[in-house]
Amino acid sequence: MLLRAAFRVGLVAYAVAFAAGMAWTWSTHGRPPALRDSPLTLADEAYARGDVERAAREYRMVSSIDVSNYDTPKKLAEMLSRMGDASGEVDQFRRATELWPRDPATHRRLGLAYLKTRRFEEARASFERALRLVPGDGEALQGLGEALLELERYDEALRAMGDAVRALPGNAVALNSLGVALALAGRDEEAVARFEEAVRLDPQPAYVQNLARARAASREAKP
Amino acid sequence: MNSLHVGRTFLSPTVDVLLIGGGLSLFFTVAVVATGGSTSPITAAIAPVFPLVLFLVNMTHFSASTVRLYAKPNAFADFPFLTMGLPLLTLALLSLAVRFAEVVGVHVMNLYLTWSPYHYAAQAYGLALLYCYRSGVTVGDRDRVLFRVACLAPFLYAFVKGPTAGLEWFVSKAWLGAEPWATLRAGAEWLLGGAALALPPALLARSLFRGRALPLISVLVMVSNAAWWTLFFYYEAFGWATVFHGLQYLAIVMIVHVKDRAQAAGGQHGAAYHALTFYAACVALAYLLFRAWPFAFVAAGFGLAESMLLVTAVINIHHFVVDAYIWRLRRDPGYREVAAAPAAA
Repeated sequence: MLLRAAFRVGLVAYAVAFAAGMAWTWSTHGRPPALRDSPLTLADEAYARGDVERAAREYRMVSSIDVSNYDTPKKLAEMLSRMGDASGEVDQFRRATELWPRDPATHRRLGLAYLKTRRFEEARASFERALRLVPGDGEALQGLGEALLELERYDEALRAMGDAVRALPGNAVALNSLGVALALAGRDEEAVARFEEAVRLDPQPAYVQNLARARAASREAKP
Repeated sequence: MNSLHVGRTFLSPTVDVLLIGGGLSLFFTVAVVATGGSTSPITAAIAPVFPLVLFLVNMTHFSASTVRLYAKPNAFADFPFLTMGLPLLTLALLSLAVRFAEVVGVHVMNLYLTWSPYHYAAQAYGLALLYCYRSGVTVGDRDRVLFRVACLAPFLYAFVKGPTAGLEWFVSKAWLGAEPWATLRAGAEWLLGGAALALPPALLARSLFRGRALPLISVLVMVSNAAWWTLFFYYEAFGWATVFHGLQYLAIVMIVHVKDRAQAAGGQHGAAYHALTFYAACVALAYLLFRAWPFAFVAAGFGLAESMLLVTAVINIHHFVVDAYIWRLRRDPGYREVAAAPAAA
């Protein structure tokens, strides 16, 4: 008897909840709840509106409750990256790689985040993991080259960057990075050639400046 | 029966094998994994319609157990706790979990994630037995134990492997990462993963050897479930396996419901009418539960993240409990009806 009465009250509570949910979305979004609604899409919408705090709150909450969800740390990391929080980015990408170690793109993104935080040895390891999953991935090779360069392992860096240039034909960033590596290795004439190619593809000031420096160094080196 | 046979099917051998047996899912699983898993072009092609597929199949299969429960004759008298107590308990658990999302919610979520592979194993076991009964294949106590072991292997594999749910819910990651536990865990993963994939064909071979061949569809049900959990990574499995599991569930629950109704209504309406009204009720309830309900908590001031995730988790748990009762094989008259072996000629 008591159970039956409680059940009836419960039914009313369910009906009120469903009606309240529908009414809330109508009043705030001008539509009923949609199939695409999810905490992540609404967080993205909040971020697009400039409501970073709301977006970050939703992401963090999803991240702390749905501990198996791989998309959340990845998306949160991307948002933290846009907000300039590189160490937060590292934490989230690292979590994403633990949840789904098979995704090469996440290892590469983690490598880039490590580069930003100047954790070069960890960056190298992340790029190598990405390359084990997709051998010849140009962006991972380029990242690996940059990490090796910072670790002063010039020969390996030059090899990786040369492979990156071959994997990413017509990529000014890869050519510029290879030019930097060659210049640091004292191979100025080869550096000049790479910088020239980079400038031809994208005449941005940084590449033009690198080209000028390499040309000067090359001239000085000549007897 | 001494030779290989599909088994006595419900709709047609092709439809049963593809939908209930999981044949379609097996093709799909192999194709997706072979083309890169999460980065597969197949996944990318389906992504735009995936929310709709998830709604029409997976979310609807959750509401199907509730619709089935309340549509059963004498449901309130036969299952007072399930029909009246459990909804109240569910509401209370959900409110508590949303209010204390970071303390309680995370455990509710982990309970759902850990229980899911077990629930799938139970469904595979039930369906495998169902086809044996229907096909007139005698299943002894020892066979049932072996079926249970074969169906539970994918669950145990998922439990040990994780990540985060299963073993990692109970034991700290740092401890599991230390030796000798890390090596033991990796060994257990290999053993259980191998067992999950090898046991169903081994059962088939055993049955052939004994001159009582199992229906191939029973074996296929077990193989599909094993493939979902071993070939997909845990999180991928939660995306795709839920769809195929839901498809399997919807097909069988509708068959049982239509049989029930056809008998009760004395043939007033055709099978299509009963199937469509049942499915329509499931779709409507799924929309209210999964889409409208979370926004009630948002309207009350909670975030959408905890509201939506925990509503999903609690509906799953409710479904697991309801299913454990309504499919008690020998007690359900609807089940007896569909499981009945053909009369001897």
